[in-house]
Amino acid sequence: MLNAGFIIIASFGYIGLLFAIAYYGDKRADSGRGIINNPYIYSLSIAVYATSWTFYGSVGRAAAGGLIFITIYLGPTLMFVAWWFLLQKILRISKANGITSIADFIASRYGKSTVIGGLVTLIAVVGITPYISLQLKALSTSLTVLLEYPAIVMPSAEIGQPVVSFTAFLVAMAMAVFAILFGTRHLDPSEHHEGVVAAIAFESIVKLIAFVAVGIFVTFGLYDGFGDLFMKASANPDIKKLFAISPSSDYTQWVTLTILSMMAILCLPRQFHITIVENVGTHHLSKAVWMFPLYLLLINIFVLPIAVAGLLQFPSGSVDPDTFVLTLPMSTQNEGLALLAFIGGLSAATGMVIISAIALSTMICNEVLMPALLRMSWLRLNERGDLTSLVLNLRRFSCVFIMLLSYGYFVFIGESYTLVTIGLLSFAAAAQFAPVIIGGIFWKGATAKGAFAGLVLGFAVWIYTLLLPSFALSGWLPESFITEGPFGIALLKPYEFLGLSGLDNLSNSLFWSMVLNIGAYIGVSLSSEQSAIERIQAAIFVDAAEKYSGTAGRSNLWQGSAAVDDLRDLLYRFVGPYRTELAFKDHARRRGLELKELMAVDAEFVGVAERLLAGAIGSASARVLVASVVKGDIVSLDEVLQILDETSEVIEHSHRLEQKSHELEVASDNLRQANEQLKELDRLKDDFLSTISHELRTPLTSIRSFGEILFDKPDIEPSQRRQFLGVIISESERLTRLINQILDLAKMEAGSMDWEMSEVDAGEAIREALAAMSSLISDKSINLELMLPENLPHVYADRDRLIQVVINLLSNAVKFSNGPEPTLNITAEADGDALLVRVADNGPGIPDGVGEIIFEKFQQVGDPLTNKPKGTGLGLPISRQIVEHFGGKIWFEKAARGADFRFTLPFTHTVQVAE
Amino acid sequence: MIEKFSERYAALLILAALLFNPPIMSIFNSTELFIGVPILYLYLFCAWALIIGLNAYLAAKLSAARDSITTPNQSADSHD
Repeated sequence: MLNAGFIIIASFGYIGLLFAIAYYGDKRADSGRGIINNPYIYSLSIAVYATSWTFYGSVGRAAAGGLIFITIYLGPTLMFVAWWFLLQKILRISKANGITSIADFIASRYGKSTVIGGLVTLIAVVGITPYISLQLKALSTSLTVLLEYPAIVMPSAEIGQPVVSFTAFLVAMAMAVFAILFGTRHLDPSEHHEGVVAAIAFESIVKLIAFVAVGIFVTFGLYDGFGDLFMKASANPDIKKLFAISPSSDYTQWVTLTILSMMAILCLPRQFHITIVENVGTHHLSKAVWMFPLYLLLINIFVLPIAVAGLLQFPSGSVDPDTFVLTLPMSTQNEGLALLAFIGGLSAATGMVIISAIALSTMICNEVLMPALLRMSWLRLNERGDLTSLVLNLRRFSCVFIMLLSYGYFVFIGESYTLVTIGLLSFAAAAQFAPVIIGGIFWKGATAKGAFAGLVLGFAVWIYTLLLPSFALSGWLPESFITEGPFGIALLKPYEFLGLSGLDNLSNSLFWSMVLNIGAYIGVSLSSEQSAIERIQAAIFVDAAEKYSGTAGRSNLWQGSAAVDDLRDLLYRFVGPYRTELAFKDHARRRGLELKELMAVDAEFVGVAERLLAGAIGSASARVLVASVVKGDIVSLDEVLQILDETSEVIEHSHRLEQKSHELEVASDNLRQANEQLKELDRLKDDFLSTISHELRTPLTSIRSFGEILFDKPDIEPSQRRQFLGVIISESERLTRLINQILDLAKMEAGSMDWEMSEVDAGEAIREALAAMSSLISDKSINLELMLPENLPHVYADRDRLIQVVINLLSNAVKFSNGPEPTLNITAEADGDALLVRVADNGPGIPDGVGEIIFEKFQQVGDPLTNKPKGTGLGLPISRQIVEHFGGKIWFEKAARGADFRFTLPFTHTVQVAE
Repeated sequence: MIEKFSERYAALLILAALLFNPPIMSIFNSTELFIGVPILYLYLFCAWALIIGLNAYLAAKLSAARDSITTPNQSADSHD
């Protein structure tokens, strides 16, 4: 069954299936029912990280170095734990700014610089091409091995059979066609390729199933489970050695590889593309950060068992460990499993090739070709019609270019290297992006010059310490370049650069490239100035917190306006009429503009157009193009910044003025109120004075007239004299009382009364008041009904004043007790939280409609003209002041007969609670 | 609520970095077998699974916290 024809048909059948899935995915997306908008597909698509390097190379690495292979997968796990700080922010920035690739991201951060974009693209292409050719090599090796079935023969150093080489070429071209068909179908401003992502997710499932199937077969088919396999392996000291890692040298390498793979998962162009650019929902990330590491864990469980089993099965060392996944099923004539393993390896390779081709071609087109073509004014690109097809054709051309370049690298250099070494070469190249990315999103001061210097130096060290030695190993350069250094200068030996020995060549390269990269990045950034656009972009990237989500996190630097038609023409040429009109209408609706009536559009509208364009051709090119249609002056960025500074100062100033004027308004309001109060008080004072003088004059007049009578008539009868003198005394007493009460009242109202507050036994105070009044009461033979329970709770009051209140009420009652059988009723009882005291008589009572007036000053019941006043008119007002000061209430109840005054005093404990 | 996750993820990151690297890893660096499996191999996969599990746990808590923010009316009863 496993003959050449069948294998090749199966391979192309599988690739055909990929086309079908991608086609289906695109169709679904076109009809608005995309199938990739969930975290599972997203996580599986990120698993494009597991390439044929994982599929074949991990086993090879494990067979040589034991568990150290696992660092390549622990690094991404660490980076995905750190997603909250890095990936999340990068994703947010990218979505807000329509980032199309890692080169676009870095270029955008450093002022939309075409130079930086081009440099990143160059590094990516030079660094990733070997990685793509590595996939082709894995493919051709596995095919060669499989074709020899049932014999197990390793491919020779030269490219073996022409059919293999030709198949590798065909697969490379099929991948180019796939990338062209589904990756450059149309210019999508969001740069989403749903069909491609669906196919990649499918490939991830296939390679996982294939690898795990081989692992289960080896562990439980060839051996009796893990225990049996490892037990047998323990018998061989050479294999047993693989169970641990050698502490002397491998710990350094362990840490180096972990850090390197952390940076790789972030910086490899294909990982950036699939994780950031192809992301269709930012919330998928929080699930993918554990699902993707779980995928890596699952695909790695059987790596060590397969490696150990391979070493046990092929003890002679004639079989390359890189092929164990394939050769173990072959050696036991398990044809179906061998084919599945081959298809798994094919899926691992094709997935990586497709995404890399799309990511790199986007970068080449947007960051290198378009800016270059736009600068060649003689091409008159700006005057050409539809440019969509030009952009798409440039990408298609780039795809083919990359595949040919990779194939060329594979043919000329690929055979001399093991899978792992080439993979790490690419990892180290991609890692050069890490400082400018991480620095770029956390450090506002990083400048384009600093980024340029860091990238150039890091890249140069990478070339010198990894790429050139790999050429030397392939025979393109003399071997002495590695062993003795160029021109025999030992200090410049690439693997022991600057005399640093004791590190493996990867750690050595990573150390020196990072030292120089980060050093130059920081050093040059500190000693150079940012241009205005850099400063703005830096702020947007670094402050890309929640506040910048949505529209705020975008740079809008356009001043002035553009004609709608110019803008429309420009966009038609790059993103097509449909998407242009959609975006215009959407924006116009959001701002309540009528698109048809619009002749010229403002800066915000131009910003929308720029972002739409940036999504298609990258931010650097978009900027150049939009600048060509914006009319009048685009105010230079420095001017914009200056205007901003000035404006914010003016705003600050006016804000302060506003605050001051508000304060003034409040103050004048308060003054007006105070004035009103004063006027009112003045009026009250006048009333009071006139009333008081009247009240004082009445007893004075009476004293004076009786005094005059006594003076004028010395012979007046003694009995009459006595009577007159009695009047004078009682009127004087009244006058004294009046003056005392006026003083009391004045003090109380002014708040300058000296209160001696303490806990008072109210019952005792009432008895004391009764005792003071007892002679009056018995004089008028008033019947006293007293209800005063013992042990009433204490009240908080001034004892003397309390007695004064009771006396006031009692004397009122006594005064008006002049009917038959006069009765005075005094009770005190607890009423809720307060003591209720009641003083009632059965005198004439209070006429209807008097109400509260009796509690006002100088108000007496009865007609003041006909009745001689019996009191001062101040007793009740004073009582009210006192009771209210104690926190109680005084009022009178309507009674059938007589007057019924009541007041309350809160008990001590409730006062304390209230306080 | 959401701010708290910065500290949680930082703690998890530190834990993962400790578990995945020497010197903690080197404690288990032995060629001996434990229940039939090499000790280091067993340790690394257990630690790895633990970190993935904790990450999944945080992701679940995070999406619950986000839901409670987007639907504040319902969350008023169930959250403090």
